[in-house]
Amino acid sequence: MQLVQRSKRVVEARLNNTAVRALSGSMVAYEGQVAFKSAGFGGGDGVLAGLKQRATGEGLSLMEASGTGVVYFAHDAAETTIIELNNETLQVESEQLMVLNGNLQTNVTFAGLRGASSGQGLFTTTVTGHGQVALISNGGPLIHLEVSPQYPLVVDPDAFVCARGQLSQSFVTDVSWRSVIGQGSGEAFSLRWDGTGVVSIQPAER
Amino acid sequence: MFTKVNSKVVSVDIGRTGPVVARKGAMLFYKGEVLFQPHQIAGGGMGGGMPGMGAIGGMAGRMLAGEHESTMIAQGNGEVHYGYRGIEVHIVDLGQVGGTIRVEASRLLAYGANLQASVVSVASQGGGGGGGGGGLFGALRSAAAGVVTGQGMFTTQVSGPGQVVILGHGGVFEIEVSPQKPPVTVDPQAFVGASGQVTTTLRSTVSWRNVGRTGGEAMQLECAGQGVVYVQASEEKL
Repeated sequence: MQLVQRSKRVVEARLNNTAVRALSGSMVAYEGQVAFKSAGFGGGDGVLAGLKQRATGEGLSLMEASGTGVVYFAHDAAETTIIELNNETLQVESEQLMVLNGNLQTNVTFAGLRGASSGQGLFTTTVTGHGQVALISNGGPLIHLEVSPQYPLVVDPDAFVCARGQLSQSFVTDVSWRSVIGQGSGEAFSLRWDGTGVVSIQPAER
Repeated sequence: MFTKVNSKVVSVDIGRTGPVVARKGAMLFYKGEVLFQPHQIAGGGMGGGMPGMGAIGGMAGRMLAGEHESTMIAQGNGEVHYGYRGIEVHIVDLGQVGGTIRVEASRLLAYGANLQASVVSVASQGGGGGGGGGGLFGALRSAAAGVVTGQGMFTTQVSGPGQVVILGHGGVFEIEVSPQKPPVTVDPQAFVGASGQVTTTLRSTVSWRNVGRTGGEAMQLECAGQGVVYVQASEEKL
């Protein structure tokens, strides 16, 4: 069971009597015998997950593809990136998640006060465990930016896709008298990352 | 013949290859002496193309079928560049895929004027009731399939020795269909076209047990036979 990049925009999953979870409706084609069924939301399992989705607005609707064959996934011509997780936690924007492979758990957690005004919500989806994740990005391939203690990173919340490593995030505001009189730079709210890890952004703003 | 300039633009030297038919408005620029004229897809009403629709002639029939896109023919001497709305192009060499391709008219960017283009009923795909059953029932079923998928009852068939340039949002990839391989199934919205002897059947995976729990893949297009299907990396219609 392996995720492979078929082209820039298409990811193929090779199933051998196994299953992968993917964004609902993201299958474009498959070979062999594969069945699709709804696999709930990103917030974990059970009734609680449904409630969580309602409450948090992190609306990630997943399906499970199981069987034997090759499944091709693509979403709206967005570029795809496959990330390997080795007992790590990935914080990701739920709308950028396409395929989850292997022994991975998804959860929705409180992410602090970031994005309260940018519409990105107060909650973020986390993916934990061992396996592969296929992410989608608009405007081009993902850009991976390294963060180290000496060099904290500040990104636009609308371009943020995912982060992994020992990172803490904070919310930077740049509101001054200029913003009040309409001379703001348009970058009033930013996401600041401190620690050690990798933050990925897409070359487009949501 | 056609060469890709980049993923979204093709060029063709019509002095060497002969006249080229392309979607109206898709010409980007040309070098040399080239003349553009309106062009009609042949075989609309004259019996051959649309079984059971012979009474409605040519143009009107095509408009009714929704399978009509204004085309132009480029003649003369020179190099013409084609592209359409920034959508990725894909060149299909009909010589390598059994000499025929079926594709929505809106997805045809350009093809050599020596090729035969005609409008055919989806029900008669692959030469024998491929719409799912044959006879009246098969025709009805494929009509219903067309409504659901937005693919229409008719499709354009291009055949002959030469190349066809098709459009696919996010790029086109090919999947080989053969009786020796596992069956191939495509999302109807991501389906671009099929070449060779491929029959497509629309299948619903919804049963009384899993209503609302199909994971967004309720409708699937089953491809059987021998040939290649073309799939785009998006569910966008053109």
